[in-house]
Amino acid sequence: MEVKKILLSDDEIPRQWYNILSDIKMNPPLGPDGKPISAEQLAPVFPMNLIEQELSDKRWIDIPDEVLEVLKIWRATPLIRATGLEKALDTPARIYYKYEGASPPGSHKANTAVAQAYYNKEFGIKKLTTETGAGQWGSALSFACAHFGLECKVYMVKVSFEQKPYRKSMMGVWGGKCIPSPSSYTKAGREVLEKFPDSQGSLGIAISEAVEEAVSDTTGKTRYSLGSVLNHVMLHQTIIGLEAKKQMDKIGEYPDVIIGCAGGGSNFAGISFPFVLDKINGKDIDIYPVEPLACPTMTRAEFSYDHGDIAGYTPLLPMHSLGHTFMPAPIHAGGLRYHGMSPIVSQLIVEGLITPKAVNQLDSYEAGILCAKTEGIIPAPETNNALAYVVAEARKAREEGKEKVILFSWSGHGLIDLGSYDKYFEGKIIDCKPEDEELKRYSEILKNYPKPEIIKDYR
Amino acid sequence: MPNASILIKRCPMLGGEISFKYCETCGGNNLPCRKVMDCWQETFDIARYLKDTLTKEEFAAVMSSKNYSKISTIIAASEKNFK
Ligand SMILES: Cc1ncc(COP(=O)(O)O)c(C=O)c1O
Repeated sequence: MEVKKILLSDDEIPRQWYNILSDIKMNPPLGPDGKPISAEQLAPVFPMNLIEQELSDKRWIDIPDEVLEVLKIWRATPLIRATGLEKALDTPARIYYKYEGASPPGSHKANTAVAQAYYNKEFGIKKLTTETGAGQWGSALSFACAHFGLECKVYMVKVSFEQKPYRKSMMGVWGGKCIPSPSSYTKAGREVLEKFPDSQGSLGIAISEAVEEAVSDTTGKTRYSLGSVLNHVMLHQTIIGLEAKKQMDKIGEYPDVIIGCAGGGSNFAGISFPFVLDKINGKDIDIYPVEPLACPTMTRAEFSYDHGDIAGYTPLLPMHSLGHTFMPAPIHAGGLRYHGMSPIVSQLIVEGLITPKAVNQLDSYEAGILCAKTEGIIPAPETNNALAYVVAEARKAREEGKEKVILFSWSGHGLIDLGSYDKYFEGKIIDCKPEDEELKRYSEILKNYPKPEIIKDYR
Repeated sequence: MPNASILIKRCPMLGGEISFKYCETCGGNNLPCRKVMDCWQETFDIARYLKDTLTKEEFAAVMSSKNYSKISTIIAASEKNFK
């Protein structure tokens, strides 16, 4: 009988995370003053034990027993062979995925949420604040805080808060307090509401509110938590790839291709970093982070760079110091930092260890629906980006007649995102490719704007 | 340009579908999101649209371009409020 899924027993779960910072060189991140960020600057925001992890270059870091106890609720996640999808695509490729939707909040985000809640608790923290877009991260952190007896306050961008009421309910069941942002709880929120009472919020405002609440607690017992981008988040996610390695080993398989969707990069980091280590050591693997073509950060130069639009604190800059030149070509410039993307992932792109790909919205939904029909699980819309590229690779394998082994991370289920599927079915999600003519017009319009000053952290 | 109210896209920053109307006002000072060009250039002539609907100063502000990382944004918010 063909193997469908490979499991690990509790005592086979990896006991250490892999820290890729021991194997690649990075310049230190720069702060708002242009100088390298110090541990002292981070201390009001994060507990010192996590700051130490953030800055650590130790290759293997022990997973505390208390963290493993909670992870064991759903870990190890199964490694599943997508036999249904393989058949549907008539591909010689063997496709395997790690199912991260098995976590209680429904995505990989719980892996770091549990670790972060634990380290905060260890440091004597009583309350965590965070921001969330559509609620995935807020749900994961609420779940984790419940396990360690921490209070959890989540600022959720108002436009999503109103669209996704079940996210607030989920957080509430775990004891998390979910507040639509902008709110009147913080100075940052009040300032926005005063000026724009109808504001639907933004991630920038929500971050400001969450950070403000954390650092202005004079008892020092509140900290802020971030669900992606930071090094320690990437570290906590490596359990995904480390488990996958053991599971593949059990059946004598090794991946030729690794695929993960990447927003801030943590899911991708989780599935891929342990294999990037193998690649550094000479293995021949193609490793692809995948993002939506619609709003790319890895595969195309951005028009504008992160403005740090913190609750309107960013001044409107005078004309002469701004502007852009349209850069339609993909970014290859060494060291250009991508907004909102993990600096480590950006660095791996620069070093040529991984190759970013972009997929369009409609292909993503189509792939997601095909996978739901053939594998049964309804994917989170983010996962669909990975699935679109998995489908493309599997078709390529068929055309080339190659028996490739593809491994990807199914980062979450989509059961609380069904509204997105409705919009797809109603034909409300559209995709158009720009014509050359159109691109030329953009360049014309932007021609007279001086080139932006690009501040690089990583060279 | 197509009717803005019917344009929907999944915002990768938020993780949900939003309409173009939201992108038009969710940046600092109720101006368009700083990524509005990246996200909508595939769908319609967003540069022309912004030129037509914003003042010169506003357009410049949306296009302005200091590249701060997320961690730097967090530190800035922290330093503003640390007591
Ligand atoms: C299911 C799922 N996958 C992937 C992502 C992308 O985030 P990251 O790149 O940090 O993994 C998200 C973000 O919310 C998510 O909910």
